[in-house]
Amino acid sequence: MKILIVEDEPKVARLMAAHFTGKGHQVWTSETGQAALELVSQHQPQTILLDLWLKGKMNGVEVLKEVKRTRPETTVVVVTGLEESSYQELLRLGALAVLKKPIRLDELDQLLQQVPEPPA
Amino acid sequence: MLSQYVAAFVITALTHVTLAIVVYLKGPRRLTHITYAIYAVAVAWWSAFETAAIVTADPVRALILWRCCIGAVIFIPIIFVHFIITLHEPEERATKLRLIRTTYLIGLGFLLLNFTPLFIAGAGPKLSFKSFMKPGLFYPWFLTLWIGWASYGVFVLLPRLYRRSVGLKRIQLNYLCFAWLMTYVGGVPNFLPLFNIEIPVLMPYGTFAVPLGAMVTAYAIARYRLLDIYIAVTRTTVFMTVYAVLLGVPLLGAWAVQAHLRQALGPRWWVWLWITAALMATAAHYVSFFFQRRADRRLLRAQRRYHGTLLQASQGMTDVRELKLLLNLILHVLTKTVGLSGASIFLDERPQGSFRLAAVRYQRDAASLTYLPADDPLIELLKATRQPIVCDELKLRLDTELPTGGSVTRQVKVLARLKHMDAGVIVPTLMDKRLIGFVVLGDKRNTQLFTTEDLGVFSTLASQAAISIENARFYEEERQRQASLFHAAGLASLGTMASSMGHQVNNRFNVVSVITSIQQMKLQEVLARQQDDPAALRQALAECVEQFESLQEEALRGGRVVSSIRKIARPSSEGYQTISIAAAIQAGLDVARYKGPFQAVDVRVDVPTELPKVHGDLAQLGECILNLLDNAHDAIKVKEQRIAEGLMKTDNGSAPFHGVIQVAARSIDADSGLWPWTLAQLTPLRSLRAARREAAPGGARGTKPAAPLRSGTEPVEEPDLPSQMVEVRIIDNGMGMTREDLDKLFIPFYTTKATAEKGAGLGLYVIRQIMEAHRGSIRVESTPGKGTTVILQLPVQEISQINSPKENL
Repeated sequence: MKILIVEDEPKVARLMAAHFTGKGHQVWTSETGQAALELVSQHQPQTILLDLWLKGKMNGVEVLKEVKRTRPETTVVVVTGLEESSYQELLRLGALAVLKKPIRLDELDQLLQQVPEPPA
Repeated sequence: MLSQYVAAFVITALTHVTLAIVVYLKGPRRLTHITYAIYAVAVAWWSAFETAAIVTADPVRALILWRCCIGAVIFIPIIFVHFIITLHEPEERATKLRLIRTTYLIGLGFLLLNFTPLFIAGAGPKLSFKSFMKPGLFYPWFLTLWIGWASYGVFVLLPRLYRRSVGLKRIQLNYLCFAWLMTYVGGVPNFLPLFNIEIPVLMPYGTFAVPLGAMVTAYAIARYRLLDIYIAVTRTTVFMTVYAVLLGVPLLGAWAVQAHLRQALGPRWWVWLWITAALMATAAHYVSFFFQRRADRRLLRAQRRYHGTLLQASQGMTDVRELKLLLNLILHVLTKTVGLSGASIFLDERPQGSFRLAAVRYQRDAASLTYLPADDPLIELLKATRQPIVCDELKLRLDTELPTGGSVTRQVKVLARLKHMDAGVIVPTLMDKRLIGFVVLGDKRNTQLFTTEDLGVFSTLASQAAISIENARFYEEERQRQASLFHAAGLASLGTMASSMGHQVNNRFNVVSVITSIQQMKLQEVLARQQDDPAALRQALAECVEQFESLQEEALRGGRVVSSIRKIARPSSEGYQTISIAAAIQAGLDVARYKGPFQAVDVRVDVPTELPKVHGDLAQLGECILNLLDNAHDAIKVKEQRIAEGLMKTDNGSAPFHGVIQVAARSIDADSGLWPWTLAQLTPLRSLRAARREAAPGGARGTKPAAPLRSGTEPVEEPDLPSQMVEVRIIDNGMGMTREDLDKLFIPFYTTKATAEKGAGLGLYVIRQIMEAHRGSIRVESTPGKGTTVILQLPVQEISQINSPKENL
């Protein structure tokens, strides 16, 4: 599975990337919204782990909206530490789930098992 | 009896000549005024010649005088009807044009006849007159037409006009109807002697009604701002009565007893008469003024009352500093006290010069017109006249004015605006003759008109309001300015600060959680194997140990974030002592070198040993220096990296970039003016304080720094501050900062650095807190791509502070 990790804390991004790579996934990371959108159009990941607090001008909610507009089939899991947007609002915008930081990776793993494999 | 006729006619002639001149001068281009002036001249002509005719015994001369007299009489009703038609709406005026022309032609025919015996056969003594005209063959025909015309005017045209009229026009017609009825009653009986009829009281004195009526008419035409007819008539009656009593009675009395007077005073008796008359006239002026005021006071009691309320309210307004509140208060006071259907206020928008609705009360359709551009005819008119515009008056003027092109179309546009705004009156709000806004007043609920006195009070209120509005606007702008300053200083962004802080701490916890869960999973996996795999277990444990270090580091970083938050609270000055700034710089440098050598960065220190001492906390100041060195180092590293990546060029072309940090200190005289900046300009917060200090009584004290705001209980009096300062500059040739970065520099948690590598973005905020606690300041200058200079200033410790009692200096 192709996974894009959008996260402004490099250490976490690194750890998660190592974890998912170890599980046989293909992983990209990005610290800004713009870079994330570029990666989405380049590699079409099935899953995006999206932090709402990002570097640069775009925030996570904008990234979510844009991804859902251009590639609605993408699964987006929002990972955030703050209640900037309401839970319901994020789900309404198309997020599969909203995880609150600090997160447990085993929980995330379980969640990602629900993501359907793309048709070949 | 004859003498009373003479008196009546003379007064009529004189008043009409005067009125003709006055009315004409009031509106030389207005059809109404011109027509009325001609009418008045005709009446004057008639009364003058009739006076002469009735006292002339010689039949030949009397006939000539009578013919002259009747020549004017012919035209009186014609001009009168014409005058009433000029009061009609322009379109209706046009339909009556033929009628007017016809009547003038007929009048001309009669005028020609007038000089034949067919019209006036002769003149001879009659009743009490020395001569009276004898009518010719055509005279009865003329008389019928004359009475018919006059009646048509008074009883048909005027009432019809009256019924259709509204507002000011109606009031004007109130006067006219009253006046014309008087003139009619006073004038028509003058034909009665023809039929040998003389109605006792009406006959000589009735004629006095003619000048009275004429005066009321003239008043109605010439004055824009009309009073209630009741008041106007009262005033006129007071005036006439006073003059009649004080002037007329003695004169007539003297006339009656002139034989006795001549005997008593000699042949020059009339000199005495004139002197007495002049004295009486002067006295009459004051007496009538006195009575008029008394009458007005009774009649205008209600109006006076609200005038007082308004003026009182306008004085209270100056205390209101909230613009919205002030505007609503003005409208409330106006609508309530005067009893208006509604009111609104427009204010100018600078610098466009356009006007926008700022507040409204009850105005029905006010929402439909909320904006007027600077070149709107209404705005231009207000600017040009600086006078209140009364809707009814404008309409009246438009109806009666001779069309002169441009100005009329403009006035039509203004009128359209007024109607659109539902305005009865528009009162300009002027500040130093500059239009800063205007108040739109609806009509009075009791449908009364606005009087001259009303408009005067409104103008006073508006000018008072102008001052208050300007004040309120000033405070408003000041508040906004301060708010934006606070915002720039990051003080308003407590919310941002809290969430930023939360993010920083949460990220640490998240790293801890992620690491823990990964290691947990790995260990669980190894432990879950059927067979013991010591090698795998050993590897997993080794990884755990490695990751524990990460966990430890994250925990410590989280702790640092929390402790830096704690430092946002103003650093205490408990541990202050006399220290040398060189020691603080050294402390900072030592720690910086201990933490990790500045690879490939040249640190040049230029700190004289004999610098004056400062009063402060060595550890805090050392921390400031350390943080600033750290920042400088980072800026250089970033630049090195950019140059290595080819994103930037070196400053001097081909030569390799070499990072340099200079730390220089010296003593400066804050008052000497050697330095181009003042302390007040150093940081946004500082300038705010300076502004506050300047606003405070006593004003600013040169460029001396302000005492820091201190929390706690001790009462702080601003001590005399030393003019001598120690300045530390930390100069790097690193990345530099953009204007945007500079503006946000002191906002807590704002950082340009990658959060993973660096602190919480609290550095400069805390440094400023520390500097201010030391009564010092921090300023940052930067050129993007070239480098940054941080300037710290600390006051030099006074000798008196060292040897405690304050005696020397």
